[in-house]
Amino acid sequence: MKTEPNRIATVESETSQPVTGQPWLAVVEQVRRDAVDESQRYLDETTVPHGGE
Amino acid sequence: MRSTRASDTWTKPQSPTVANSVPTLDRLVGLETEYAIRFRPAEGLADPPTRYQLYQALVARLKRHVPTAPARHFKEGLFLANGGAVWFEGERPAAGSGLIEGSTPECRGPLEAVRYQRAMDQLLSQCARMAEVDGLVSLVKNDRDGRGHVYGAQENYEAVLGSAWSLWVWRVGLVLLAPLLLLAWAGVALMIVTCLLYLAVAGLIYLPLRWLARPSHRVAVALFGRDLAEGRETGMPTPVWMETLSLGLTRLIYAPLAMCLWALIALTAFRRTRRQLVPFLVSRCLVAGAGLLDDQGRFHLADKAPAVNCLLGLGGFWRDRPVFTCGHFFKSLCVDAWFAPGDLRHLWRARQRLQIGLGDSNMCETAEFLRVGTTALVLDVIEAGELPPLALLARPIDALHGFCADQSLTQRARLVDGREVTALELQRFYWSACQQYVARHPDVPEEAHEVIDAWDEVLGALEQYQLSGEVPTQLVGAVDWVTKRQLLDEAGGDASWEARKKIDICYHELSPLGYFQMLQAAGLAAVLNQPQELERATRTPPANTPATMRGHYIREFSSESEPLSVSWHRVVMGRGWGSKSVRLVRYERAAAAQTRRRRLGSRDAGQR
Repeated sequence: MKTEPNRIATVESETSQPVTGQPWLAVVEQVRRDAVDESQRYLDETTVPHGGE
Repeated sequence: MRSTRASDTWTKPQSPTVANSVPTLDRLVGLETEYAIRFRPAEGLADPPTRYQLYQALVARLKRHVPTAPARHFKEGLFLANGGAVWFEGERPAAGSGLIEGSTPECRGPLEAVRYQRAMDQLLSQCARMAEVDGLVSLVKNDRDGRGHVYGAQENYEAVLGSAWSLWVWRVGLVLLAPLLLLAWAGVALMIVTCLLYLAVAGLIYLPLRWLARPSHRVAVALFGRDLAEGRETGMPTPVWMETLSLGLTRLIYAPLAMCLWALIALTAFRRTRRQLVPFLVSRCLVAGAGLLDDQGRFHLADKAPAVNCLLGLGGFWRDRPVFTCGHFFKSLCVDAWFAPGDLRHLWRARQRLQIGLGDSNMCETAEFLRVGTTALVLDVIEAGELPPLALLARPIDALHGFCADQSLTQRARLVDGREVTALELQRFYWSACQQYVARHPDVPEEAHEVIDAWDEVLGALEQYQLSGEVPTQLVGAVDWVTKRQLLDEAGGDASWEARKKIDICYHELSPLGYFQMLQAAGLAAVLNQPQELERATRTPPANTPATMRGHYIREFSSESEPLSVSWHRVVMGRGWGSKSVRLVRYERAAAAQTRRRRLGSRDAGQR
């Protein structure tokens, strides 16, 4: 019954080796710099008192 | 309530039931997501807004974007033109809690559900960023904050509640619960009267004191709550102590009803479905887990799963975190009945809402598609009675925690027959059952093949990883826990716990500063829905669901002078005696007839 190429597989094949490329390394570098910047303040800002109680 | 031991085994496949008349991947599906609010006040802001005020600012912006109508519900919220809804989820508002909750409209099929979920993410995050407050607001689509508070995602699937005897026991049981319900209502009414009396007496004492001794603002807040003390709506209508006391008392008053309802559900509702779904859900974190860095710095495959402590529960009533939530039945009985007693009729139906509390808020679209698609497909196989025999897990909750804590994917869990299995083996079992089901039914939609193929790809990559130990890099951007772990390893390898935890949480932030969104902007994450599809989904409801008519009324009548209010079951135009009420069940009958016609059509095609 399949009439079209698999949509998920097609999309995934475009990003099959993302962690070796320049875009990945650029994001990693950006995250590395941002993560150490005011990390405790970030955790406080995103805290949800009592959560989904 | 805690239940970690299953006692029975499936000895043979069930015979096909009336349920298999529903076409594959055609059941109603709805997703609920609680978003944490991140707020950074402007420099020097002395009185930051409460979470309720942030919600109000977001809603004010939302109303400018899409047609909306106020919700007829016990929770503060509004329905959107696409049939979905936005709520303020705050059980302890005076104590500072509060989340934004988005509910997708009822959808058919996993791709549609993901599309409406993404449309909701996009709409709410844009409105949050544009909210008119002194500071920056953004939403975080995760399941647990830096201090371990749990919230997050829930899934709803239309499913067969029970067959013949269990359905009748369910209905009779509901009738027998009526006296307990009336008693509980009387108790709550008494509590409300007592609170009002307290406020009147405290006011009579406080007002003369105010002229004589000029007590501080803090005293007024402690006596009356912020709303009364400040004369404005802050979302904190009672003092913290009164909120804590009334919440405790409410639970005490409702406890007998809650216990009896839980027992009735455990005995009758979705019994076979729940039993056969458990091994699948317990191992589903491999495919759909969002990843978690715990307070000891250990990595788990799923965000919410380590907090799950029972199979079936009301979802927080007794601090339970269940795999299957039955809180919606409880709320229907206890609260919704106040607004429209006639809507209790939906509790009579043979097909009802099965709510799954075990599941993470996904950032990867592929993972979200698989979370919904695999579950819906497994439900189809179970209801068709075509799931091959499998022994149940001996201790499912322990198995869940074990699977989630194991990055090597080699952790084994014991079955009741003594054998031991890995999560991958369980997932392969269900994949194989679904694959055979799809092969046996030539009329299944193309989407079912997509689910099977994508599921197979992910499991294949994980099996390779289990054997070689090499990171399945092809899953980066498709499976959240793999993506997050890779980011933690490469960007936060030697960083402090706080910095690594920030990576864990900021991965889920819905803004250009969110780490997943950075990956997506760099083209490193699979995209299943195009921007124009998402834009359309913010304004137009899915076809052939109760949301279709709900969305139509909101689009057509929300700007009229006559007030419009909406619930999941009805639309009400006008107020008081002159109001006109439209039950959305009228649509559902038409949809059921359409489903029957499709069934007969596909059967005829099969015979030909």
